[in-house]
Amino acid sequence: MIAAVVAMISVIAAVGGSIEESYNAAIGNLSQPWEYRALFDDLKSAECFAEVLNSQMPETSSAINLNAQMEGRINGLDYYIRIGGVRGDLSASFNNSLIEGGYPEEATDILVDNAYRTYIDPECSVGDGIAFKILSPVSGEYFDVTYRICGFFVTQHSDVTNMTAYMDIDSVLDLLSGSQEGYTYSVSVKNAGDYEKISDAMNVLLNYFKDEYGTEYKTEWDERVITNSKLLDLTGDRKNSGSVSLVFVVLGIFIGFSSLFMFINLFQMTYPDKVRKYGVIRSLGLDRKQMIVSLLLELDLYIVCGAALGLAFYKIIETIYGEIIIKSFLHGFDLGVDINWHFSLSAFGWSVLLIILIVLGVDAWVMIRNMRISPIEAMHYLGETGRIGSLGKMKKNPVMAVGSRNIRRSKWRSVYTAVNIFIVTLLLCTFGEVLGCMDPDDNIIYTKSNMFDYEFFKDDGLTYLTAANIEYLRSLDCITNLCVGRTSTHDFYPAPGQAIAENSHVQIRIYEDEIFERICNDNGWDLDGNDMPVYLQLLNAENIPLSEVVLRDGSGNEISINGIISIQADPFNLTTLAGVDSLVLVMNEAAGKQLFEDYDINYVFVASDNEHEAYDMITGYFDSIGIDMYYSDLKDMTKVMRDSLRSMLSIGIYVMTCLALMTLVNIICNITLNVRMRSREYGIIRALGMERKDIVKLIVYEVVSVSTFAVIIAMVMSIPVSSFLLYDSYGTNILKQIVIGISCGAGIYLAMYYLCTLIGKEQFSKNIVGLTRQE
Amino acid sequence: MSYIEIRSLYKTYFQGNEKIYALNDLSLSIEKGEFLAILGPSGSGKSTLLHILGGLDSPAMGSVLINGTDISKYSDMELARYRRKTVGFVFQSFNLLPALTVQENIEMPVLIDEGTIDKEYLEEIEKGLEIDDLMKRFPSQISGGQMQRVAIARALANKPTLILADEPTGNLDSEISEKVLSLFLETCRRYGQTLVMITHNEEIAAKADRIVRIRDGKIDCVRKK
Repeated sequence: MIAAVVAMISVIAAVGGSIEESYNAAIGNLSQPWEYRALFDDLKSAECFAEVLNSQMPETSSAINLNAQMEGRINGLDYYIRIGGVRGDLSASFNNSLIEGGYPEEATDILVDNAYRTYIDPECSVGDGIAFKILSPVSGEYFDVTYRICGFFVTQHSDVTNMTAYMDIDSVLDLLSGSQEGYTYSVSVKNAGDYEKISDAMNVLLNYFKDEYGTEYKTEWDERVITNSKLLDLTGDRKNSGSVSLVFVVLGIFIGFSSLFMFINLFQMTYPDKVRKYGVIRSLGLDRKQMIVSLLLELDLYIVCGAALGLAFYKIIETIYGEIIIKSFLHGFDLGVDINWHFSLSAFGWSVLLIILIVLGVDAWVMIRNMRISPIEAMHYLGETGRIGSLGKMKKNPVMAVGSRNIRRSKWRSVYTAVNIFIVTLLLCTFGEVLGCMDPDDNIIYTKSNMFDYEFFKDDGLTYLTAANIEYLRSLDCITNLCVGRTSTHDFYPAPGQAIAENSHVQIRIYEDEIFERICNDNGWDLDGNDMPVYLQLLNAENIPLSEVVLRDGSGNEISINGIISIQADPFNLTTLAGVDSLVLVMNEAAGKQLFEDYDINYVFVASDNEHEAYDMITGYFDSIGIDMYYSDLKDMTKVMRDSLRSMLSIGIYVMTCLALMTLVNIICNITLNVRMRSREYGIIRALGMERKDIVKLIVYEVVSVSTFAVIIAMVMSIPVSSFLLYDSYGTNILKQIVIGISCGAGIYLAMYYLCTLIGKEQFSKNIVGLTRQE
Repeated sequence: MSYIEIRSLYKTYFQGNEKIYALNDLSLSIEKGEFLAILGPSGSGKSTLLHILGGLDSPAMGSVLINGTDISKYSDMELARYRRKTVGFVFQSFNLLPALTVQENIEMPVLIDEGTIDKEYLEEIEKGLEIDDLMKRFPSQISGGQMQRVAIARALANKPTLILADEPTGNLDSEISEKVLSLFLETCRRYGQTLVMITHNEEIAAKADRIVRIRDGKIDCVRKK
């Protein structure tokens, strides 16, 4: 049994460590794309370094990047474009690839992210002009420029709200008023081949550069090696974005504690046996040194057997589940890189070492106990003793009398069992609740408002949509819902004294009454008697004093904000021209009509059951009324969220299955150990005439009475724990959490009851004489 | 018909591939109220016979009729009821429940049988066995001899019709042994109980109505008082 527990702990550690190891191996894998980047504080240093690089390593491609960026905005769109400087092969850095045209040569040449093409003009090509408003770093005002598209590139991290474009470094420096101060320049190099060799060569080059140019040009530099930027980003994301990593950290802690308590419990049960055994051997002349050697030999046997068993289990898991883990766990986030399964010898070794330390501690306890008492006392040592009080009314019931006496006599063992059951129940309930509330189709808070399949934006130069247009769209069968709104940089101004940046724009979200009511209800706002229910989205609400006038519309009307609401699943987040997050005002249609008489609308979110039909019908309608709306498939955030959730769910279901199995193993171990320890007593009471049903009752009573409190507390605690884990990213659904929590707890309870019944029956089938003679 | 009829009883077990006969075609009758002493060397089958009589073990072949009913055909439930209502067993190794006090151990058979505790009767037994001042102690807090006497008191607690005692005086000094035996005989006489006792003590055996010597699972000889 001890070996089995050693095996279980080492397997868990080995699998967990191997996942980490696989990530690390993938990051350092030579076959993965890599890039090398050296950062300088001045252009001259960067140029010198690039010169050395190009002459010494002509097979590599390199680029100098100016890491200062200009902020711009394409006319008619509210999203940013950031213009950086580049010289050389852009493909050498940032996972960029040139797909059309060439690099900037003229001062007005600009290289554009291909993903942004849709917004400029899907038909645009190299040589076409593109008009911008660029924020002057000198005057702080926007001015109009027109550039020539010299090429298109693709990058791994396209973001239409913060699109990147490149111009020649000198052009950007001109725009930055010629200043070369305060920016960094990076020289990137990328090539296939042996990374270690390249790295060595780069160090040689760096030294050469130092010798050749001295230190006067090198203000400060930093060098980085990126061998799999997407994977690095992902691991970075995992560290930064709380919920996913937090779930796994909590999971790991729970499993660790559960295993630890199970281990301690196991030794607690065998401890008196060990003391007695060594008492007998001491009476035969065993000295202290021999006892230590004997205990260590015994320890070796446990650990070796357990570790061997653990390795065998690990191999089985790796063979059967390795591929599944890689596919669902490692590739679940769409890494787009090759990851192979790697065994983590260190995790396995550390877990075995930890076990050795625990066992050594327990054995030291056995030795100390044996040293302190005489061999004869040791031989008769029964473990926990002491006052255990009166039985009271339980005395009249043999099942309760024997059961409660045993629980009280072995109070520490009972406590360990209860803690163990508590941990596994809490773990299972919490994880079940988290999984249950992450249903991608049912539970991203506001189902209807998150069913948006399309987002349409109008061009500023064209006509707004009217209320009549929206009514027509809503009448289409294929459209299940619409959220309309407007984003404006000019209609709203801060009230006097408000710390809202100049040029702020405000997003207005006008929700259908049905959705709006649900949002308000979930946020605890009562709509009754509220003529102008305007709320501020929590997202950017930190600096807004509530219940005061904070904004005026273009006509000078004051807009009071009733309160703050949270729409957690709202995926849309714009930033203002001043670089701060936009304020988002949320209101219903009545308030929208009151505030904006003509009900001008410049964006529409559409939810649909049939996305193709909806797309065709909406675009057809827009064409028919002469409104040019831009369709954004990149902003289909709901799909992204769903895919992400589905991916997490596939991992979650796998982990949940493992947890359920672990819980079952834990319960079986606890009950079996408890019964095995007491088989002689069961034999005696059977000899006294106790029937099978009473033996079963006794086992059930002992296990269930110890565990009931633990299961109930765990079920109750799982609600806040799962809420904590869910709150940030997915929102809570208390009713669902309670139902799932109770179901998991009841499942564990039933499993315990059923196992007790089985084990009780099995006990009754054993020979009484054999049991009463058992040591 | 005798109170107990044992007919052609066999009990076998295997030691490796070798079949060992613990009881080998053993037949015996015991009358109601009789005090039967069983003697024999270690491994002769004495305890096995007692276990089968007490419904703790089952024979490989043969029958054990108690009051005309074959207990070897009893179900688990019937056997439990038989042990509870009919038999009082004194184990060689006491087999007290370590979690219960001496008093709770003694009362346990009555509780299991859902009967009423006859306090006067139990006090009398406890005094007779000189354990009346140990009632609040736990088995781990008393000596081997005291544990043996508690085991005897427990066997008598339910006023069973059949008392089976496996060397009940083995751990007792001669003075206490004498008292224990007197108590056994007194209660047996008073309640018409049948006493089957395994002993190595010839003096105690001499007080029995009949002595049965067992060797190699067979009755070697029977001697009446």
